Amino acid sequence: MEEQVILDVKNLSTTFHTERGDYQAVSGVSFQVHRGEILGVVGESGCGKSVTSQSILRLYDERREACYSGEVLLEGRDLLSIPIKEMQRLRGSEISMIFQDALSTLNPVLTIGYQLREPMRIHEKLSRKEADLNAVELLRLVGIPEPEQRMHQYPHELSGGMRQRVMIAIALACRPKLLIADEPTTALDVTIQAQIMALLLSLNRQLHMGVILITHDLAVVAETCSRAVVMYLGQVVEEAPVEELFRHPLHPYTQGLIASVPHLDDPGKEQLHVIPGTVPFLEDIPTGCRFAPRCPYATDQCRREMPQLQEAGSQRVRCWHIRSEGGV
Amino acid sequence: MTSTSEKDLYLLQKQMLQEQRRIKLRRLGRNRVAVIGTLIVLVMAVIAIAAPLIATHDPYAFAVADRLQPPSAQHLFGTDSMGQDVFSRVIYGTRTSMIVGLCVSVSAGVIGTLLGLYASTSKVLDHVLMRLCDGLKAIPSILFAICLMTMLGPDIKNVILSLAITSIPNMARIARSEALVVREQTYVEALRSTGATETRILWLHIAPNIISSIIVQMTFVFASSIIQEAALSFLGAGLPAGAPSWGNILSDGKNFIYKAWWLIVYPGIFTMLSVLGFNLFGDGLRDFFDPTKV
Amino acid sequence: MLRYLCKRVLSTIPVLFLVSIVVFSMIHLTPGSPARSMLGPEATEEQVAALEEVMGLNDPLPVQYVNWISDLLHGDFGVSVSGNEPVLSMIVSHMGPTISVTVFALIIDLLIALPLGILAARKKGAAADQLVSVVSLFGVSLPDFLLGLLLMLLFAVHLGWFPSSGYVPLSDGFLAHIRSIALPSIALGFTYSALMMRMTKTAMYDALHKDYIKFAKAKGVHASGIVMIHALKNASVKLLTIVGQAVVGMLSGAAVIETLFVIPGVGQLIVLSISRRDYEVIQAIVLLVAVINVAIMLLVDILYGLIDPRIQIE
Repeated sequence: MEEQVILDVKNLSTTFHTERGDYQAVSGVSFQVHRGEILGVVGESGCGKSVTSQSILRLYDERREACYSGEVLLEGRDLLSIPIKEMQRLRGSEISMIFQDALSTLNPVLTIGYQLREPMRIHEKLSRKEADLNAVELLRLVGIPEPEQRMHQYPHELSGGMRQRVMIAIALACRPKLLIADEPTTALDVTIQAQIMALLLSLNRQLHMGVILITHDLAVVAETCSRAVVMYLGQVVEEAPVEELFRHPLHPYTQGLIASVPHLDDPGKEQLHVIPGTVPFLEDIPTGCRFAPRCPYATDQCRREMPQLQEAGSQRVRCWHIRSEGGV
Repeated sequence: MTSTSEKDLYLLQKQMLQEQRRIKLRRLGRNRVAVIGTLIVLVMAVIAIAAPLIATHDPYAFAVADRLQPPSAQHLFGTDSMGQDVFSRVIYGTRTSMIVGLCVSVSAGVIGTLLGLYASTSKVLDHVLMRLCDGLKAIPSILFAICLMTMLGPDIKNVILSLAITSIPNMARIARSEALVVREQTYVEALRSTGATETRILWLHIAPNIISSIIVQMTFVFASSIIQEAALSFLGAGLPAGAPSWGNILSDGKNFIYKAWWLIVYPGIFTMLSVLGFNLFGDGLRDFFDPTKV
Repeated sequence: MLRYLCKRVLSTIPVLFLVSIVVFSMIHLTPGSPARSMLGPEATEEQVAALEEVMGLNDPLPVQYVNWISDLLHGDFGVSVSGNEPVLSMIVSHMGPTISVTVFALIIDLLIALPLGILAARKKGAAADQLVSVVSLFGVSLPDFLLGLLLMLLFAVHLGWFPSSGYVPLSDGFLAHIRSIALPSIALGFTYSALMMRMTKTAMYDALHKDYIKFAKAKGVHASGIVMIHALKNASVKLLTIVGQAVVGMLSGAAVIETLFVIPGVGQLIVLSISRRDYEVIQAIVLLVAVINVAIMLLVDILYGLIDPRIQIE
């Protein structure tokens, strides 16, 4: 049985207007999210993961900051073409988002209770009392002890892990169909990271919502995601089921990423693999394959022409070498 | 590998050059305003110095028969209630304002810096001086100045003294906090470990680093001294009644507001322009000294 | 919260002590005898000496200071030299117009500064922002009494829309009252709105670019909720300080503005006392304004604690 697609991103591009001129931070990104699945989006910082996720919610000011093109279909409806009022109604109710650092993401001068009630009062028009009851339930759901007392507290009074849970509770307040988690555990201690990931996994199963998990941490992807999208310089370079991706990465960039993860079970390998070079600035994007300047296999063709995403079994990959040699 | 890192370096360099060019352009754009400010300041300075050459009449000479004449070729800015030439009085008033502004900002700058620098050397001194500043700052400066002027009597020296006293606390506070920041720097620690004396550190290493902030603050003190002097004279608590001062002319203008608009408009324009000029000049200096705060 | 409050209240005591020292020494350490300056240059030495004796000016300074303070603490601000009226009741009877003008000026200040400052923060670099920069630059450069004079020239003398001077108490009708304090309040309010506008702009701009604003947007909070609740509540901590400064500035600016518009407030009283050389009154008003200043700073700090829960921790 084919799983139901809830989000279908087709050829999404985001262009920022800056003092130095326009530059495209995301170019032609496409992927799908199915109901109940966790999709990983991986890449180094600056590869456009966060911009992609914030473009889905249209969080950038369209008159001043950025412009979008392509389609973002939420259950068939194109989010990029609906009026912004309608978009506001969908934010927090159909699609929610959580961020890296809950301390800066939660408003320091508003109580946990207020911030929890807010989406319910806006989207479900609940009274304060009803919202209060739901809010306590939500806090319990995300595993916060003594939820009634937390309601009156301020973010700085909670521990880092608790704050992260509160942020998740706020995002889930209206039972969204899709949750975008932008590096949700990066700012946390390792033990708390594991707790939060376990919480996200169990909520994903309980509420049967789609999750886009944005991370630079391949280990997190391996543990939690069913499929993953690898991004480089604003483009998708590879998309594959997670087992395939780790067992048989097709794109040289993916291979580099996986090789640079340290392995405990492989003590013989003393030196970690490093992908040469750094992510170039967006104004210096190469004309051909964007990874070519850092790629060990780059040919003249790679430097000249941009490869397209193409199917390779259950995977999709953007590399010239796939067709010619059947993978590198 | 080497070729890629060279390329990275090249890219980085290119990026930095672009960034620098952008910042320079932006500073130039902002500087246009600063240039206007500097021009105003220079013009005011020239007027103050060359007042006897510019003035068409003796600013004290009065002719009761010619009182409250509107602007004409004879009297460019008209005459006041004593028949004195307003143009000449405004020109000499510029001299008054510039003298007051200069004396107040320099004395407040010097004394404030001394107090601030030495406050940064010892905890006890710091505590005493800063509490004293708190006490002085609690009294609004214009009231403080009015009060002092009542006791001292109307005279330009007293105006300068009163305004300097009210400007010093703020100046000392800025000097102190800047000095404390510099003191925290590693190189000061390093100097101390090489056996440099406290006095040497204070004057050779800390003072030069805080001087730019002090100069910027001095231009703002200059601007506010112009306002305060005009306000004091306007109230009759500044310069003696007959002395040429913008505040005195404005005060005359208030009494004859139904008859003589020129007594308000001309000194008003001079007051506003000079305050604006010093504020813009100060903003420009700040950008010049500290481009990171753009 | 209670501990924070107590600590803060106690910290005002040394400041108040210093203020009293400063005010006292202003009168007693300046050259020339207060008795001489009160009686004027025509008075004979004998007259001056007699008055000095009556005023206790021959006592050692510390004794004079202690006497003065203990009188103050008993509510005795002395007797005005010219009016033979208790200074305190003189000040109280002049309080009404000053409060009226200050409140009205503060309203004008906030009505100009808050919307424009917020607008400039939301559209940084746009025409609105440029306009705000220019307006605030002129506001800072235009002294309040000069603006008052220009307003008087235009709206009272030439257009005749408002009276050029005089004060109508609130009891004589609201409209007449507002008309009589309109120009002085605008002059004071506009001057302080320049600074307030700049501060609103930077504080709101900072707040609007925080992560919690992004999160609020992602929750579906509409623009008005984002600006008015999420950003403004955070920015208001910084804005409160400026409001406090503005109130004190307006109270002391009243000296010039009330004299200009002939409004019988505390400001006019102090200026009249200058010409009467009534140093008891001047001393009392300066002390009073300084105390109000300290009290407002205290109030601002207490409000900080109420608005931003993080402050109590420090």
